[in-house]
Formats: sequence, C-alpha cells, structure tokens
Amino acid sequence: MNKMQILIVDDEVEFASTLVERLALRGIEARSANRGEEAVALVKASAPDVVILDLKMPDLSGLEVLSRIKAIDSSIEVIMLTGHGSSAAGIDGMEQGAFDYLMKPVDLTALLGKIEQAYKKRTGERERQ
Amino acid sequence: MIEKEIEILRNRQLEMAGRLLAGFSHELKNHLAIIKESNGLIADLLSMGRVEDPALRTRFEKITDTINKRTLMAAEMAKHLNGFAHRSDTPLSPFQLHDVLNEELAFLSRFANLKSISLSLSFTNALPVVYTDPSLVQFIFASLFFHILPTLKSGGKIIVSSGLQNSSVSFGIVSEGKTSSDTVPGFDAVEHDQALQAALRVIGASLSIQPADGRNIIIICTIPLSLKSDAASTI
Repeated sequence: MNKMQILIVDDEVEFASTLVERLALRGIEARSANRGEEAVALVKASAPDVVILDLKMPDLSGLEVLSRIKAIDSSIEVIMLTGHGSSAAGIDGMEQGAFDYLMKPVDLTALLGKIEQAYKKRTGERERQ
Repeated sequence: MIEKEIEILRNRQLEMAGRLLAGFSHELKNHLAIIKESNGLIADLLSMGRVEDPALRTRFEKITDTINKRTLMAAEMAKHLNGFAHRSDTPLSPFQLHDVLNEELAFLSRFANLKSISLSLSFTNALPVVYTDPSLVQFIFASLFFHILPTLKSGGKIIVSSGLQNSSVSFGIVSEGKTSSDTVPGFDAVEHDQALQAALRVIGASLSIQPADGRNIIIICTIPLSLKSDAASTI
C-alpha cells in the first residue's frame, strides 16, 4: 500500500515548513510549496493525495491553484486554509471542488482529521477508477 | 452641496478604514498561525521526550500551553476584527443577529472590564436570518452600550439578550446597578442622539426603554426581519 503524501501550499514559508515538520513527527510524508506555480508543478510531478492550500497567495490565488490541480487529477483532495473572518471564502472553495476548509490558525487535531477523511475519499475514488 | 461632499468624504473614509482593518486582521492571523505552529512544534518535541530534565520539561510545557491559549484568544479577536471590518462591504445582507452582536461584544467587553462591569449573554437559542444593514445594527448596539456604560457603578451588570416576535427580532440590554435611582439612565441621551435615531429610522427599528425597578433598566431594540424596499433605497 502506498504511503499517504501531502502537499502544503502557503506563501508563509515558516508556516508551511513547520507544518511539514509536525506532520513528519506523526509519520506523515509532507512537502511544501510557497507559490501557486510551484504547487502546480509539484502536483504534476508527484501527484500528492491531499493538498493543504492557502487561499491567498501572491502569484496565483488559492482558487486558481485549486482549479489547476483538479484539471491535472480530479481525485486529488484539497483542503483550503482561510484567514478570513467569515466562512464565505472557504465555501467558495468547496463549491469549486475543495474537500473542505479550515480557518487559520489551524487546530492540528482538526487538520489531521480532515486529512484522514480526504485521504479515504481519494483512495476510494482511485480504487473505483 | 458642501454637506453632500462631507457625507461622501465620510463614507469613503469609513470604507477605507474598513478595507485597511480587514487586510490588517488577515495578516495578523497569518502571524498568529506561524506562532501557533512553531509553539506546537516545541510542544510536540517536548511530548516526545526531547528535553530530558523533567522539571525543565514541565516548565516548558506550561509555557507552550500559555502561548497556545493566548494565541487562540488573539486569533479569535482577529477573526472578530476581520468580520467587523467587512460588515459595511454590503450594506444590505442576510445575517444572524447573534453573529453581529458577538462580533461587536468582543470589542465592547474591554470597556466594561475597565469599569469592572460584568457583561453576560442570554441569547434565544435560534433566531431566523435578518435581512438588513448589519453595520447599522452594530452602530445602534454600540451607541446604546456607550450610553448605558457611564450610568453604571463599578460592580454593575450588563446582560445582553435576544428575542423573536412575529416579523422582527430584538436585542435587549439590561443594566443593573445604576448610579442614580431618580432618572432613567441614558434615556435623554438616547432621545437626543441624532445619529442613533437616524440609524433606527433607516432600518425601521424601534426602541423601548423602561426602568425595571429602582436600580435596573431594560432597553429593547426591535428590528424588522427584512428591510422594506422604500427604506432600503436610502441605504
């Protein structure tokens, strides 16, 4: 069985790298990208199972990255991160195919729960294909 | 003409302040997210026994707990600030009365704390969605709060409640422990507050102010569930 692979996309380098390290301490393999274009290139190259994606980035918006990821492989699950006060931005993401969204700062336990659910959905869909 | 220009200028200033605050609070949340994750990483390493001295480990664990709690509190404040800043983006919008009151109470509680006035909530479980101007509802609520606050002695109480009638929702402010028993505190000030009265008129809301007994006052603000179209055109 393949090991779950996570990609964290956030222009805040320290946030992304710290999250990678915290997931690694829990035995989860994760990589990070700090730009939208870099994220799309990594998705093409390594097809992660779950992408944790910040909504606001300087080059491409999170929603643009989401649409390009889904165009590459629609079974890759995306969890959006939003710093907005309201849930409207996260709901926009879900309408465009995101698995779910979480507000920043993230509760790691909640994030791990979402990752697990998203991975189950991803592997279920792969088995059906 | 000059008055019209001043009105336009004021509106633009408010709009700009809202945009700046919204952007600022968003950035604040990013910084808090980094602090929270970095602190979480330290906590992870501690829980994995990377610090061998038990006394030192316990001390570090207390520190990381405090950082985590305070970061979450600051994040909650940033969230309210962000929501508050965005309230005037769309003058007419559907919203939950409890959301806009909670958002504002996050800021107002500080003013009550500074006077040692306790602030508590007694909200009705479920209210229908209101369609009106949320920033005006917040303006009315804050105006009433600031009229009431100076009338209370240290140790007094403010209780904010909510209610539902046929085609309107309401919020109530009960104040206990006023400074004088011979007048209804804040009543004249409320009557003569032109901006407050204008806000009430624009959204079709009404106020009822009554002394509940010698020391307590109840103010009820009733807001129509949906703003009538003729009134809406003035927003």
